[in-house]
Amino acid sequence: MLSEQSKQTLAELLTHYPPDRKASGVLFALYLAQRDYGYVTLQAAREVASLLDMDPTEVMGVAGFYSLLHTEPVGKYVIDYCNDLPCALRGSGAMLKKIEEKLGIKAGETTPDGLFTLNDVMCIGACHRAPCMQVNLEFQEFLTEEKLDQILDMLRAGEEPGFNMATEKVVEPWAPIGWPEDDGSSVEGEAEVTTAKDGADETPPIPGVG
Amino acid sequence: MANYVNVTIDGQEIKVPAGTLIVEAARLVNKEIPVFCYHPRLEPVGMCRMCLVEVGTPKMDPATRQPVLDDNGKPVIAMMPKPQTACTMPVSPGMVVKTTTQVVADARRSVLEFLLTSHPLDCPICDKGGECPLQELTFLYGPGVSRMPLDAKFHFYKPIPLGDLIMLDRERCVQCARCIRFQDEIADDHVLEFKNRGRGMEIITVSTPPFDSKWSGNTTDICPVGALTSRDFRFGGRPWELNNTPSICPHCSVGCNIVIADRYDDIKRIMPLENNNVNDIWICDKGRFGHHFVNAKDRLTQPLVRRGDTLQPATWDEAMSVVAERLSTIRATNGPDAIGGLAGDRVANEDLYLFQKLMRGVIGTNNVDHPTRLALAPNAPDLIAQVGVGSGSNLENMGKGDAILVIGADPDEEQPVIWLRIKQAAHKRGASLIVANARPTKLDRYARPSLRYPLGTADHIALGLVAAVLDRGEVDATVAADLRSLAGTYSVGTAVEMTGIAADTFKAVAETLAKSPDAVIFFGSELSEAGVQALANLAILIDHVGRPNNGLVALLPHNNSHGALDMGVRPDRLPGYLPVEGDTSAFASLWGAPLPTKAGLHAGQMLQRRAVRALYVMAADPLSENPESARALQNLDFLVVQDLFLTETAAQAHVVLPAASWAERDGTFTTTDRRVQKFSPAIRKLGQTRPDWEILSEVAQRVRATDDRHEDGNGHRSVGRDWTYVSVEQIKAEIAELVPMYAGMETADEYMSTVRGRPPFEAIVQTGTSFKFQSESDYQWPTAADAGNVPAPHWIVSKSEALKAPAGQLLLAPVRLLFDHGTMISKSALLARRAPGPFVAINPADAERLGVAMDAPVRLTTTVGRGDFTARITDMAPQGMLLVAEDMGAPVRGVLLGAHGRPAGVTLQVIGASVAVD
Amino acid sequence: MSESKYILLRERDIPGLDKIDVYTDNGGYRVWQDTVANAVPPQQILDTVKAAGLRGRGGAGFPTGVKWSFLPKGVYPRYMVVNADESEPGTFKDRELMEGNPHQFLEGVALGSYAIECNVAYIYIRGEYLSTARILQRAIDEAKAKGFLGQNLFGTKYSLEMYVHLGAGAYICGEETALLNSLEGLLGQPRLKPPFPAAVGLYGKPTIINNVETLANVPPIIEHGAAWYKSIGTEKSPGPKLFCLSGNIKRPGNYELPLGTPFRVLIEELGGGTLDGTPIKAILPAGASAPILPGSVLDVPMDYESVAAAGSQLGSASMIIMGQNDSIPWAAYKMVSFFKHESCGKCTPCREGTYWAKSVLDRIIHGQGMPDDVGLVETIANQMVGKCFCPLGEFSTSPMLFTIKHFREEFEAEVKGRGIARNWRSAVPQRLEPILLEKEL
Ligand SMILES: Cc1cc2nc3c(=O)[nH]c(=O)nc-3n(C[C@H](O)[C@H](O)[C@H](O)COP(=O)(O)O)c2cc1C
Ligand code: SF4
Ligand code: FES
Repeated sequence: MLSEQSKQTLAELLTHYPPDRKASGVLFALYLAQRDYGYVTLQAAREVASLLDMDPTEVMGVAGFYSLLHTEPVGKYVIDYCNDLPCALRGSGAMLKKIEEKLGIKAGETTPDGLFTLNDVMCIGACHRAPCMQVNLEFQEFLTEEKLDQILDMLRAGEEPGFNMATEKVVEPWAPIGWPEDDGSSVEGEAEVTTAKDGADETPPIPGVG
Repeated sequence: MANYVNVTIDGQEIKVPAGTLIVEAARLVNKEIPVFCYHPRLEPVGMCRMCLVEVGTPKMDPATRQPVLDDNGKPVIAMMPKPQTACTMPVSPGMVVKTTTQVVADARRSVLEFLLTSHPLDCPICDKGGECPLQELTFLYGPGVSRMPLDAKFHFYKPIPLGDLIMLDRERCVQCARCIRFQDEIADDHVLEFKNRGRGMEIITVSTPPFDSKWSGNTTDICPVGALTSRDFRFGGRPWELNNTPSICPHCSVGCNIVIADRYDDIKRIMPLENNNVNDIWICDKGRFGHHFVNAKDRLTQPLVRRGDTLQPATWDEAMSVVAERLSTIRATNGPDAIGGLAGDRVANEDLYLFQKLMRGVIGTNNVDHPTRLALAPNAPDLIAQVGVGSGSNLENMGKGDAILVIGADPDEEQPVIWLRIKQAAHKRGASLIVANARPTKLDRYARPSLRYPLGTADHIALGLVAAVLDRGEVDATVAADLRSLAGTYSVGTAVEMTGIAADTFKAVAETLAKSPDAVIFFGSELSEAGVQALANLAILIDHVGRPNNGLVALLPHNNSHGALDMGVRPDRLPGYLPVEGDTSAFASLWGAPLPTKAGLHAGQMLQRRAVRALYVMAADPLSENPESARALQNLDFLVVQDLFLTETAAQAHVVLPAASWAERDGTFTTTDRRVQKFSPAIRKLGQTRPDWEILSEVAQRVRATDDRHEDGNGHRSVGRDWTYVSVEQIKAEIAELVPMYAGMETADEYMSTVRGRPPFEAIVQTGTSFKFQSESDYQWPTAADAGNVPAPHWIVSKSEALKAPAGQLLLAPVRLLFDHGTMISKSALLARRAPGPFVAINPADAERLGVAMDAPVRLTTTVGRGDFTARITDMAPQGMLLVAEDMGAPVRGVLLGAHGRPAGVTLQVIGASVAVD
Repeated sequence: MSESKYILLRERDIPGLDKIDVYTDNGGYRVWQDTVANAVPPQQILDTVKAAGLRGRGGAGFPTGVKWSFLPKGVYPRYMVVNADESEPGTFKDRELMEGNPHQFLEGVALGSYAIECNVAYIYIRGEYLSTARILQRAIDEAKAKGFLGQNLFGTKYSLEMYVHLGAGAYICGEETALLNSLEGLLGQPRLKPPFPAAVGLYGKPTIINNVETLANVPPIIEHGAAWYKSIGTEKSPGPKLFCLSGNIKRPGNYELPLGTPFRVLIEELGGGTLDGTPIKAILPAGASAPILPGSVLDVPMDYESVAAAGSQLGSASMIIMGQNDSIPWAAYKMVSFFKHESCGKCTPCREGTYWAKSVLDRIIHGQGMPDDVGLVETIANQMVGKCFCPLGEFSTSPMLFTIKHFREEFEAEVKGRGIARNWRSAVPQRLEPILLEKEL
């Protein structure tokens, strides 16, 4: 059964859509079901279907279409490690091998203790902070081997809030570990370049000239 | 007033209605555009890309908005840069379509090569082989070799069951989504879907039971490859070795046109035969998979005669002698009315005609009936003959503006294809659908409004609507005054009181019905005489009679229920609804016998103790439907049963005569909307079986011959002239001569005479597995209103009121399901699995109150008896009401059938016995 | 109001801009308030955006004002749907905008919604951006609390609700009609066009779909006027643009530059050249979706027209940089794998073609290619071109056709067993070091 909290969250979410369009809530409902059941089980699909006036088969089809929804059992922590082209050009392949070694599994597998599932995924929008990954959808970026160890240790100790959405009041985003210190010289977007100064509308700015 | 446009396809200029898709325009002129995902009955999706063609439109001068002309004064055509999908693009004025260019040829070859990259090479063992569009199109347009790395071919585990009836071979699937779309758009059971995406896409079903739809078989017809195959037909034969015979489905009263495909007299499969007036190209799973009774091991193959306690095989001659001797003797000693005849409504019109002729013309009694008739209001058949839906009706022609009223019926379970056609009229084409029922049905989804009345008050919906129509005015003043005087104080208010439905709703529905150009009213057995009369009044008052798609349709249970009524298998009417007391001279002179003029006993009466001394039962099993008739049967001096199986009744008989099944002979059936349709012999007769009509003729001849010896016994003598029928045609001619409404049925003949596969390319578009007649015509017998004789409305006072359960109990409503435990299904092993065990449907609120869990075993007790059931908690059961499906085995009988509360032997039509849940 | 050298990434100059107070202190929501409170005719907003020449930043570069004007007259309700699905490899601009400067984006959504006369806007954000979605949700809550969003805004009859809708991992859902299907709870497969979403969109109603960055441009346009906006960038591609720099590059990240800035400025001057110091071998100007360009294009200006003239597309301007040692066949394999993974499966050429091409490329880069394999990849692509249901399938042919077009020798070398793809892959561990070093930059 979906938890009461999930049901409530879903009911709240459904107010976002026209009353006869409950199916719009299906992705969210499946995230909740995944949290409560571990993955989208048949039972979960049936439950979601009945809450949203859909057919269970439809719900299963939807669950099967999207990469972030799992219709097979997954670990408690799903590690989506990015190994797409931009990251791979920055050496993500090698780091992937390291994670595989540390977890003792290959990408696509789950550790025997059911704690971790490792996926080798397509671009997650953190190419400029490669190597990067998501653990239960929380970003971990600028990965190094030490950070990786730290993260895995933390997860093994169970310090992770899991999937939640702002509409649920427990907004305690898991702080990313070990970001580059904010010493004012952030690695990214070091554009000393301006485009147009606010209000400065006389001359179009020339790139490269601060 | 369709708007036509000129388009040029491969140089040929044609005129087609605006909005026609390019594929359809091409079909009209036999230009071949190959397709996979496109299907004429489904919404276009353009996903397979097989139908790519080059398209150009006249170049427009932006300034003048006129086509630019070339030197010869012809419009300059601007070809589109990319090929377009012909299945999604509608034609436009001046459009030029090219299907024979190199670009198109390349596109076709490319798409086929893509589709074949991971297609298995198992055509030699694939059921679709020989009628497979992928195979055909590959031969026509495909590449000769594959360039796919062999080890990279996509593999799936070989076929997996997709429910009890269908197998899925995922490797063969070309992802055209026809099956998913069929389930969605046509069947409206969204029980198939794609899972995964990209190359990994596969069809799934997670309904309970899997592929939970009455329509699943149709997906195997429209699947353009061998991905979906019927478990029933799997490895049953190659399509080219099958012998295809046109026929009519022997199950429900819709009369779907089918093709019986057999190999060496073994029926391999049943396929739909396209008939746009009846079933289009679809049939339900009962029709498709429920044919195994024909070749069932326990079919009767030779006559049986009782010797002592046992029935023993006998020759036809022996059996016939006994029958003739006994009937003749009993008639001679006890008079003709000591004999009765009960027929089933599953046999052909010709059989039914001869049956009543035997009883009336040879035996000399009006004791002839068919038990299922008693479920219907007694006046319904006569009213149908007057204001039944106009001949030439076709639900396909109903749409926006038209109205359909369905009252007290559940066509979804009982006449599925009619459900489908009503649903399409409402859902797809926008007809107003009004559904009134004491419980929810699948038709409610499309109904605006859907009315729920208390069980037992169906009549008052009809009466209330008549009252609302009278209030509306626009009715002839004298007619209105007459009706009102008969109606007394009955008003819309009375109906509101009885049904709890708002007065405004009655008004609105009356308004919708009155305003629509065409309106058809379907009703089931819940209405009594008053209700059916009210529906007739309604149709008459708002002028919805005497035209196609206007009038009443009684939703009857079996394949020839209407025929049984038409053929006079009833104690008070001759064929053609002629009262037995009336002028029957035409019959008397043609039959060469004076006819009995007193109405006979009806089925219920005949099954009472000592009502008759001998009973002739043809294709009926009264004992299984009413255990209380056992004593009546035991007391008979003589019982003869003519059937396919040794039924419970047959087991009690003195003589049992084995009949041929419908597949083994010819004849006609009449649909619930009065279409007379012919079926032909498909396979050789089993054993020594004989068609019912043939058996009846011989019985008649023998009785007469025997009678001659009794001539001066006590004055009785059998009557009638020659009974030497040698063919169904002869009987049909006689029916046509005597029964005016059947005079036109000969046209049904030609209609049925030719069936072929579709022309080769059409077969690809439709997917070669459905069939079409060469010529299409049909015969729906005319009503009195069709001939301009509209009867005057007449008011019958209704005594019906809401059924109440005694305190602490719930109402019990028997319902019918498509998949039951009846003989015709239980002999088809795969289909039988689709029939649930005995269950009781209970509303969630009641379940909670009574502490009943889903699937919990429960015991129901009625005044009749008790039975154990599985509880099914569902909204389909209204609060306070338990639904029990009939024909689901012993527990149901234990609860529903018995001596108390209903007359023995009357077919069940209970509206609410009370039950207590233990 | 504090000055910023940015128009979009203003949070880089104004710390805490994601908080509504900071945003309003810096002039935020003023335009919005003026517009609604003064009942500015929606057409006026639309006309300004049209006059500014703002082009969609989602990839196609379609003029935004023109798109808005396609809505059928008098049909309501209408919907605004924001495309925050950002899944193109190498794209992370919308993420920074939504995380850093969410209110400017929301103000843009609001102005857009007002211009097209709708009362509900959905922001469809990719599931991987869960944390971003939380930030957005918080920003919406803040704006509602301040009365900038919700019912009867600023005492008028105009109401506007915004909802964040989380996707669940499917690149195809960035395609606008697939996005609508996904939003409706169906499989995220594209719909037939016509009808276009402007006529029949979300729930069958007229719908405008815009990219996040597109809408973030709207508040400054309304504030400063069309003429100001047109003064930035080129004539046909006006305005600032976010460029995402990734791959083999020293300083990856988002850069806000006027359209028309040459590649060289972005890649060499700002990005610092390749990470391994080798010359630029190739640029993928729009992630995996547009044709690859050789390093020789460095002086081409980055605007829609010039990049097209150079043989590619500006698209979402996600520049993936490759250096001299990077293997092109390997990159082609990576990109085709992406499309194979993301193909929705609806149409035959894309579903089968990407799978087939991937398997051929696989054996090529593993040194098991057949002599004809390079040609075969091209054939597969050519069999797909112009035949797919939606642009994804068409996009997928770029990494097949243009990698080979510009770097055929590399493919031939792979087939002959002399390629670098395998070695390159095994050489990767050394590549890790520079990244770790980069922290010290
Ligand atoms: C396969 C595919 C993926 C796309 N992904 C995105 C995306 O992630 N974000 C986006 O804004 N537009 C994406 N688009 C473009 C959208 O379809 C659409 O053109 C855009 O959202 C319109 O907004 P704009 O006019 O503001 O650019 C994609 C298009 C295709 C064909
Ligand atoms: S091109 Fe075809 S398969 Fe590919 S994403 Fe588009 S519709 Fe889906
Ligand atoms: S795309 Fe036209 S038939 Fe499939």
